[in-house]
Amino acid sequence: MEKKRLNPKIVTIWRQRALMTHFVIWPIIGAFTAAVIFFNWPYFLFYIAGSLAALNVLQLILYVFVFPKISYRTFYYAIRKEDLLIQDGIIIITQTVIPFTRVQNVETEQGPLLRKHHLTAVSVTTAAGVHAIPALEEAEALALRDQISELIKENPANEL
Amino acid sequence: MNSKGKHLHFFAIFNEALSTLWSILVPLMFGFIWGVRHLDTIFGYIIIIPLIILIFNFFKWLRFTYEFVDDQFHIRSGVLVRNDRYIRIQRIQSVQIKTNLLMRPLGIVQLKFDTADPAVKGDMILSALKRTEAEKIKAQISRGKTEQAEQVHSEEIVSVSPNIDESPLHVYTLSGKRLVAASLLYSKIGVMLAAVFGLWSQADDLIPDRIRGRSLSYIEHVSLVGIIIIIGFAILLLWLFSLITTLFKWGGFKLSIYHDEWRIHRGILETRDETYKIDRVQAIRIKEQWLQQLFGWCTLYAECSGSIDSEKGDGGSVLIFPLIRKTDLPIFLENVMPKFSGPITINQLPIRGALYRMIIPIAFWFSLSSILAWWLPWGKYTFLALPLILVYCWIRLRSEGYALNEDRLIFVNRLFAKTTTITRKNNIQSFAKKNSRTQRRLNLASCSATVRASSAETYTMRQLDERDAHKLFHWFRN
Repeated sequence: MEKKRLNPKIVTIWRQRALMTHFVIWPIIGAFTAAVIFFNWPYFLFYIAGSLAALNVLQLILYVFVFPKISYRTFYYAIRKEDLLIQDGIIIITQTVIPFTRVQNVETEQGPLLRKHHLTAVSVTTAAGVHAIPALEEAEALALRDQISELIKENPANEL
Repeated sequence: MNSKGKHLHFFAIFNEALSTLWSILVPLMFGFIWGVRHLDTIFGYIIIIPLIILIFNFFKWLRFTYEFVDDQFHIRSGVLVRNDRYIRIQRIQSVQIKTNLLMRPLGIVQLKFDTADPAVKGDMILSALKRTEAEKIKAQISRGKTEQAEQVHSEEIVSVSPNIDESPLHVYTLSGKRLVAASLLYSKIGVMLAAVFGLWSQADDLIPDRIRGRSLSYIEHVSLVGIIIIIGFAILLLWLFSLITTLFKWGGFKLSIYHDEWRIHRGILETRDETYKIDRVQAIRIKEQWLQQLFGWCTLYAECSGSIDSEKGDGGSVLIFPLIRKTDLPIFLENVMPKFSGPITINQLPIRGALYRMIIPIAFWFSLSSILAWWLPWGKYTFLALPLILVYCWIRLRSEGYALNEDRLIFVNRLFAKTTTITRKNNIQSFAKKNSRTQRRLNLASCSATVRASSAETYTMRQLDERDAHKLFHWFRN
């Protein structure tokens, strides 16, 4: 069994995504504070705005500096003859096995950030949920997709 | 067979948009235009709105037809946008016939069948039918199925007429005494308590000011004993109410087992006839409430893939039997669901796991009590509950466990009621093993198996020994 890792560029992408959400939230907090000042809303709303801002800073620290690296380190996937193994997690590390017989479809997705780095996200859907591999090289993703769909064909669903 | 990627016809864009717009606009517009004339009188609204709904429903009814076409069931519907639906009879997973108080005197029933699709898409409802007609459709569906099956199995046997009215292999009925016992034991005291307290806290809003002033002042004067009596009485009342509803719901319960399906009949005033295919069952749940456990009884549920009946109130699971003796369970399971039956020998979880899990509730209660003790004069007495919580957590966690034999996986969980879940390797969609840093240090891990029930259902066993978790993980992988 061969453990495969994500493409290292995903760390940058995760950070960029976190930064984007971070900067989207500042204007919202700003507008809220402005509204409190101009419309003479009750004073305690400042505390709420303040705690939101603190949370936002916390989000920045965690999602830009702490989590991406840990996520990258823990994540791996392995394709075996009959199943797919995915390990992920930050504090709680989860290993998930998805037998190919249960896979209903394989989906690849590419947003603008991923496209810039020539990466693709692959997700596998079973009747009970979606399991995702966040970033792979384009070619690798396509190969994986084809491999899984080939394996699905070999193991026709026996349920129902 | 390969072909190039093709677009839908360009008109699809307008089509979709129009259908969405129509479905929102038309009722609104009608309501508006008709309402404007009578705007000055409230009477206008009262008359017009139901009338419009009625007219709309009339057209809906007019456009709704169904028929059998070869091996398919064809439903046409839709007032403005036509909707044709063909369902292959083989794909129909279960049939349900239902009546209620309103429809029963008229001899009308509601027929519902569903496919493996999610509930929203998959349910077909024929909302009002004559009972005979419904039975005919049901018979036709099951005949269609058996014919199909026979064609698949052996092409030679053509002349054999499929007998729909095969006698059931086993029939279980709920006797009157058991019905009463089941209803008595089923009563959810916790829920009722919550309801009472909910009502209590809502009393301010519910009761008009004038009366409230009086009643509150009255309450202020009653002694503590009086309040306790009042609360006790309210609980008793609620309990009686739930008892009676359960009696009506489960009255005349009858489970008949055929070789590939279950037929369940239940209800006194509102009757239900349900048919479930056995191969649709993904997991079996054995539930023991406190009281039930005390007397050695349990309730049996099945998790089926496909759609749910959201009104059922059992969280999408199918009630197989309301009350059965724990000692009769193995034989019962053997008859009802041979694939899931077998010995259940539970492996206990490690003690350190139980201790680890007790930290959070204890810490929570401790900090809560500390805060209360700081602010309130009677706060320090809340510490008295601490040993109780401790004991409760200990009992709760020590009664959990798992078992693994051959391809069956059994989890025993307990929050208040003890729940034993039996599922099979073939029914598990994905399996996960989780552990956090602390867990790793303590050599513990959690396992969760996801099953396709009415929605994705995850069964989790927390704080297994790392070795056991590993064993389960490898059991699933191979």
